[in-house]
Amino acid sequence: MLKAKNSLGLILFPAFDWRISPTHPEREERLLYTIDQIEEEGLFDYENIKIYNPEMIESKYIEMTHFCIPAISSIVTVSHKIAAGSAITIAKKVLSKEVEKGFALIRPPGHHAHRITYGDKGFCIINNEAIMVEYLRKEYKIKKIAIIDTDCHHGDGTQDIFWNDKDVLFISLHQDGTTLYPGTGFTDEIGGPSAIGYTLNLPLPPYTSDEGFLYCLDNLIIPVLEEFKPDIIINSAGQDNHYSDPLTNMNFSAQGYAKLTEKLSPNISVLEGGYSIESALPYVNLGIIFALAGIDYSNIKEPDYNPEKLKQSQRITDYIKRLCEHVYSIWKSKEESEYKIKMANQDYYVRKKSIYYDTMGFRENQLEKIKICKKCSGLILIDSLCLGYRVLAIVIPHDACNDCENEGHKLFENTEVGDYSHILLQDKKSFELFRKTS
Amino acid sequence: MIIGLDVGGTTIDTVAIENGKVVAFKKFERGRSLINSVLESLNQFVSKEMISNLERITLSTTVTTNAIVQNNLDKVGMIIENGIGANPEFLMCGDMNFFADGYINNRGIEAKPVNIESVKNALQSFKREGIEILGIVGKFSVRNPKHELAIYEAAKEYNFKFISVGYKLSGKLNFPRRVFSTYLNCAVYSTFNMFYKSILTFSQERKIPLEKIFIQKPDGGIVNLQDIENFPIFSILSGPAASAQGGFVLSNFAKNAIVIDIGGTTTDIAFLSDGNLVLEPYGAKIGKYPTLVRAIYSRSVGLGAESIVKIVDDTIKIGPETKRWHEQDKNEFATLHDVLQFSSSHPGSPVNARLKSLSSQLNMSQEDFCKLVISRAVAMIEEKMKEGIEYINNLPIYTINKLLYGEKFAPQKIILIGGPAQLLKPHLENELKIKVEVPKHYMVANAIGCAIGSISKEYNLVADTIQGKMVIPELNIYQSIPADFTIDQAKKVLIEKVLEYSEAKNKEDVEIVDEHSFNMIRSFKFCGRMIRIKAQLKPKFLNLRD
Ligand SMILES: [Zn+2]
Ligand SMILES: [Zn+2]
Repeated sequence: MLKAKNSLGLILFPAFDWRISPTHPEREERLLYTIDQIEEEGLFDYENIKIYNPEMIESKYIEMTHFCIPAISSIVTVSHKIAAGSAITIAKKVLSKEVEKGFALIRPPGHHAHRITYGDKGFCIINNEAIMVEYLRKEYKIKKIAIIDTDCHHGDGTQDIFWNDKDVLFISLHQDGTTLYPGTGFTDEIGGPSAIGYTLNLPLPPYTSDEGFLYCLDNLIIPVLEEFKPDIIINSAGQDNHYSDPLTNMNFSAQGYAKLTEKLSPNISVLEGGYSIESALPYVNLGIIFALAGIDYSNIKEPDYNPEKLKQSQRITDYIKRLCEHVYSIWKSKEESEYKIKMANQDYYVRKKSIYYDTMGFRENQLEKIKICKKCSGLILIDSLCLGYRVLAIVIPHDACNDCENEGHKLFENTEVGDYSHILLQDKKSFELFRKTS
Repeated sequence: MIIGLDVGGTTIDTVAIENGKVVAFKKFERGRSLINSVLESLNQFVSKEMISNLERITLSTTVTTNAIVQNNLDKVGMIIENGIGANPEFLMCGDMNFFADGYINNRGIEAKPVNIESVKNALQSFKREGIEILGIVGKFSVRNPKHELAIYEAAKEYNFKFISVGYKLSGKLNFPRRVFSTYLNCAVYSTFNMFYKSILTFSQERKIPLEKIFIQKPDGGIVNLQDIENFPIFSILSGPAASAQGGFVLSNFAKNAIVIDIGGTTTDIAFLSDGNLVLEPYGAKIGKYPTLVRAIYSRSVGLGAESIVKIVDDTIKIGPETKRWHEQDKNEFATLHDVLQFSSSHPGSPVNARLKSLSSQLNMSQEDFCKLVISRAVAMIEEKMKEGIEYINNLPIYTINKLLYGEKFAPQKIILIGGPAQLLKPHLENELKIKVEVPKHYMVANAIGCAIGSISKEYNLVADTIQGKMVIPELNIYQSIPADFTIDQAKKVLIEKVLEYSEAKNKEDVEIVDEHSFNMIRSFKFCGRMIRIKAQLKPKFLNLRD
């Protein structure tokens, strides 16, 4: 039997019996051709490539990551629960050392789902990787986690959830927000007051090719990872940077994805977007799988692959070089910036957010307050207005000091439901959710 | 009258069935030459009266399997169109291999034409090197065999003795297995041909029409000897299929069960899930090669009645060596059969003397020693059973409905067959706490399984309305469809075609087991449908009435 260099666990869950609507791009066909390609390639026959069936996620892990409004049961579908459950299953297999690496090829994706979620946003309702992170911290006591988001869209949901969390380094490479949904992910989005520099964004110009992506990897991501020293690396492996993707304008290829995966060497990859189901997904997925397993991928090329045609302009090359230098300087001066911000905001760090739910066509307005605390990352309070709901969300972070913890519980107890539809307290320290509703 | 012959590790078992009753059976010693042993057994067992009202003879032999194991193979040249994917070096199974340029994609669309000129050069060099047998395989050829057929046409000019094309061997996707299956189909050509010719002689001498002689396939199905001339690979590994089927037909109806056949040298374990014998998801592994040859999924343990029980470094070891290997010093060791037969009431028997010498090495009573050996043997079987159950329960699931509501495989009972079945039954029952059924004729259950055969088959239809094409690779059907072709039409067509080309007599024999219709969206617009349907021909068994 064939054997790969690294043992690899795969979850291939196409959810053939689920779709949003008959012509929606996030649909059953997405993984059909990938499964064809994988089957024809005989990947099931490698003795150390194992295929697992997913599990359903327990609500507790969703609650510890999100505030689902009005309730988990009313917005989260079975397929979303299975997608998040897949991330957990694959994490278990990797952490128990049953396999060295894991890749969950699942749908629907999750990286646009924010901490507070009212429904479908960019095909996401709950955040698969973020839920996995909470699971890993709770069940495996893992401290330092890096999430590298290589989907073409900015991973705004993941960024939001770990915004003020120094233990989770979040780096997103994506097509520039001025030219693509969700319109965020600029270099000045660098994290909350206690985690400045632990969110890094690399907005790339349209038509960036393999060269540009790999440059970012070599000159920014890998050096930063070497300094951060994560216990685990997670790749939000979106595949819509592909030159044939209908929703985006990038020039990344299957070879590029494979090289990126090989260099990044994530412990776990989770499929995010990617809608060029026929011309890209089969080859890109195969490339990623081969790269993770340490199998020679040099013969995986799209039938119409033409590196000359995909070459990026000198202007793009120069821009990316400057971009990496700039973002690296953000990383380097993170302590200094944190000090400055904490000095300037003595009590609470406040920001206003307006979040657009593209699929459903409504907007959420948030006022987020993060307590400046010397002993921990700080209590988080969010006042959110959307669809006629008014939510007070209180987050006691997993590293909370006693003061912040007490303050959070007091605030929850002493706030009258009154104008609020929901008052919710997510206590990550005790792993419990408290709820008051009108 | 139906006659079954099954070649086992130590014996050749024969059985005759008439009107649903076993009317004769006999076990023959297996001699040195396999082909001769088969012929002799047939000649001795098949009487004139049997021939006078003969329905069929089914043979389950290990002739081709042996050729592979003993590396007694033909020289083969392989033309492989590997396309996009893994580096193809590991596919070089032939004595000469040529990688052709060209690519058919997963939808069966030609992405790059095949380079016939370079193929012709390769064919010439094969011939120069004295290669007379040719295998042709392309990636995704079951979705569109155009390139394999183009190479076949080019190869015809070179007068090869035998040519095998990959897409005809199986409708399943799995390119490496298609390559290896095609190679093996070629490599056993001469061996099978020899066997074929000797059976031909037998049929002529005994005046049995060739139409009445069948071969058992490793999936339990039977195929006429004449129809398999170009597919010798389908005659491999039929032993486990024969015993699985034998156990199945002889037992009282069970939905979920395990069939265990304990023979002289090995114990084969097969699984009956939801009323069907579980098949290998892609196909059998033959020698070192994974293939697309449809086969019953079975686990095998090197453990049988004749397995030698010995003590190595103060621990008990059972098998895989058998008594046959040690014919000379029969008094020096005990077999598993001796242990199973042990009875303290006959203290003076030679069996007990041998057991005494073994047990004393471990400072145990004979009784305790035997108990320990048996529980060790049961544990060996149990391990493989568990492996199989786990394997079946972990087969990939692709739909939410199946993930949430699909049932887990949990056997209700064990169907135990093979020579020592009666002796083993109480021990399996006690140690595994599961009902064990030993059916009548358990001694020759595998020959019965072989005689009866089944016609379980799978057919896949893939329709692509953008291309206006439909394929049913198992039936070699590649034809046009209208742009508005629907899943209901597809189901109707598949059932009709199966009825037309298979042994199925009516609609009830054909079951749709999987169906999907995927909307294809290009530039946000619906532009066609991808339809995938799987049908199964339900196995039909002769009803044994006694
Ligand atoms: Zn995306
Ligand atoms: Zn604090």
